[in-house]
Amino acid sequence: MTAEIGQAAIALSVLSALWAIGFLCAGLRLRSAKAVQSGRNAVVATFFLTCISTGALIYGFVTDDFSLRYVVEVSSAAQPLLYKIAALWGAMSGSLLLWLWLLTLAGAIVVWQHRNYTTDNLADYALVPIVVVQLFFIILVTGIPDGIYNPLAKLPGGQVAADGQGMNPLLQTPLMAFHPPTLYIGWIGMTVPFGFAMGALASGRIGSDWLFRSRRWMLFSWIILTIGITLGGNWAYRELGWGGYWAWDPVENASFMPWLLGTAYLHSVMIQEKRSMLKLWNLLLITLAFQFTLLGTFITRSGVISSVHSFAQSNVGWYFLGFIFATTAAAIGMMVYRRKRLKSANHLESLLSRESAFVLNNWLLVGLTLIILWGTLWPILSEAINGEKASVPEAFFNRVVIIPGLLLLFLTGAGPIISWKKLTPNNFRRMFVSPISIGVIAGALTWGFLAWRGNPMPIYSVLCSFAAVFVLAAISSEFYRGAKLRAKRQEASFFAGLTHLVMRNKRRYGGYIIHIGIVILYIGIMGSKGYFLLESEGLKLGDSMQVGTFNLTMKDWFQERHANYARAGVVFDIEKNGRPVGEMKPARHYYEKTGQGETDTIESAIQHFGANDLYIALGDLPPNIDNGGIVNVQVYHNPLINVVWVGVAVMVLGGIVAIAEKHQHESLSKREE
Amino acid sequence: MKIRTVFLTSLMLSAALTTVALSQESAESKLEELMTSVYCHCGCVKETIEVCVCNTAVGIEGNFRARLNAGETVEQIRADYLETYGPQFNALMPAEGINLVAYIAPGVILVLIGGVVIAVLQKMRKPKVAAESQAAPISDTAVKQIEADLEKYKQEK
Repeated sequence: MTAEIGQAAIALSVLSALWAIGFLCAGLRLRSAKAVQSGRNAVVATFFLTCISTGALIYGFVTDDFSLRYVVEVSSAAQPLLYKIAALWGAMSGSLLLWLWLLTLAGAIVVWQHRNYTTDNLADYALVPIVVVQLFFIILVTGIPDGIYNPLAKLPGGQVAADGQGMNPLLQTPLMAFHPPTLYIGWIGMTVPFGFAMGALASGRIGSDWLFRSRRWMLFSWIILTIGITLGGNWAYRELGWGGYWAWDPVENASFMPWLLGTAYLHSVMIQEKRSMLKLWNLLLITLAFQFTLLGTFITRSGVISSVHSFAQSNVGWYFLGFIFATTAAAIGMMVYRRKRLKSANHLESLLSRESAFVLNNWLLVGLTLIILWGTLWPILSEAINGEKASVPEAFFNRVVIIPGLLLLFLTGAGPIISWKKLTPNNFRRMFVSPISIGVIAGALTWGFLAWRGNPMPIYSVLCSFAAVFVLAAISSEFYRGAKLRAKRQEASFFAGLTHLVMRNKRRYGGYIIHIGIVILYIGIMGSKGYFLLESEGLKLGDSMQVGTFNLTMKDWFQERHANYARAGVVFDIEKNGRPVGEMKPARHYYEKTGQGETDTIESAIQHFGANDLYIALGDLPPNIDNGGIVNVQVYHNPLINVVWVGVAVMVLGGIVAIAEKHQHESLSKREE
Repeated sequence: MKIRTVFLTSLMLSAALTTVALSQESAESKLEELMTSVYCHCGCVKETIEVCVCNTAVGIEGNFRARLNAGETVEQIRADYLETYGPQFNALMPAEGINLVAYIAPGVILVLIGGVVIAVLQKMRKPKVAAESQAAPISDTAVKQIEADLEKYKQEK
């Protein structure tokens, strides 16, 4: 009965979304407040209807309702409760329902945020494209399009399965329980700024108002996407057994490209806010960022490119591609229609100015996005050209992104200290000379250190050290100068001055904290990607192997039974420089119900040594392990890998500080009008 | 005589040992070259034989080692592997042939976007004439004319 109610709710949400679009459009066109209000109510009603359908599916999982096709495919009776709930996004149909539910939640929040705006109708204009996107997802979830089925659909002929097939074992980890929803929230957060951009074009209010209304949405989605991408990287590190967190897999790229475009947008809107420039560019950028959130689904779900997510293939990717074309055409059409009103109000004074630095930053971020897209799509392109599908290795991406990546790092420090309008010689001397000098010294020291250790090709590490230290020095000097001035004015301590400085301008200094996080992240990437060690060996019980300064002895093996899997692994005694530092227990999990996945997973053992990790991944355990059977073992020493996670944490902290800035849009939009 | 014999024997022995060691090292480096140049076909996605920890990878490594010892070349073994499992298991994408386009394109993309950025920045710059006229000092005649106009305006008022 619950499933039927859920299905009815999905059907009704089609009507509700159509009602919302119709009444909002009619109300705005005919200036009817009643019709607009009815449209708003329909937006909220759509949210409640999707709550019912999503709730019905979760209920089906929790109560093991094996009459539902989706529950049978991604759950099983023995699956722990967390993974029964996480099974909601364990495959295509449920993922689409979750995406839809989050989209309708975003729509309802926009209505709630603007509940007191009776004469200002920008949000109502924005709601129309948001609900159009919702409608696209509702249609997919109904199961009417070929290749997708309704997540609340029953098994044919009223059958009830004895048990489910279980969720893909790779997804049965706490990290995977949270990684997909965070990505979806991040992507959906970008739908709202896109809605406001389209609303601004439709209403003709192309000032900065739409930017102020959508700023927090964009920042929020940027923060969540940062967390989501990192959770995915951490999951890959722990679960896939190859000792790394990023391999430029298509699905990683799909989540990273909207992040890059969102970052570009967060920078370029500042130019429009402060100087009334780049109006058209900002509209294009947010359109692009939104489209890339959909493109990710096309790439990962259409099956045109193989990925670690290739188990999730279906026709849905092609529907996404069609929707991308349709919405892009509509957005560009509206921009062309409003082109005369999109001209900049101000001019650029000099090519050496903060405005130019922002434009350069946008050039690099958009350029990087297109380069990554190029590499991701190259297998399809090469197949179209010569009939042979190329496989693009990680090394290709590392090679092509490194130079723009380093330039971006340099701009992370140069942007905040270069003056608006024009860089004067005085500004250069005061702001740039010291950070550049410190950066040069750091680069030289890195060169010396690497040469002393005999590491090959140190040039990128040297450049990275130079840029990283330059950025840290530049941003620290901004904090120091500001805090000192505040402390002097208020006759308070330096720390009080620093706190006051950040609290008075959270957006600016939150942004600087993010920049510091980025520097830390770069250092972590440089160490972990550039200087890791890998040793592979086949070991018998009692055998030892050496990795760098570590000695590992495989002393024992073990086996355990859990609710829905068996765990088997070995025990290593670890010594560092000849001194015992503990035990590590890499293992493999063997699942009985495997859904669409493999039967077993690699459960790597990871031990932290400060910023570095010792990492062990295990092959299958042979049945004769007690009698000299050989276990294939891979051991990595990953230097500075924990610095990567610290860098991301600092970035998120900076984002939280920046998002805490109060809304200024009411006063500013009034001033503008 | 005896010393000479011992010296020559030890020289030949060390030469032989060095040759064996070098050939072993060369075989190991060939094996590593092979293992890093193709992906495992076990079901993992894009893990080279060197990185993949499964038994399939162990089997492939054994097969590669045996074939290298039997005198086959790295190229032969690699070509056989790719013919059997498909070109999607090729972990190398040398910058040659059609793949050269893949390597060149990122630079072209950056240059093209850079060109657009420079064009946009130039367009966004303050028009030179306007900037110059703004900066040019007002002539004495113009000042006198403005003062006279102001005086006339006051009187009219």
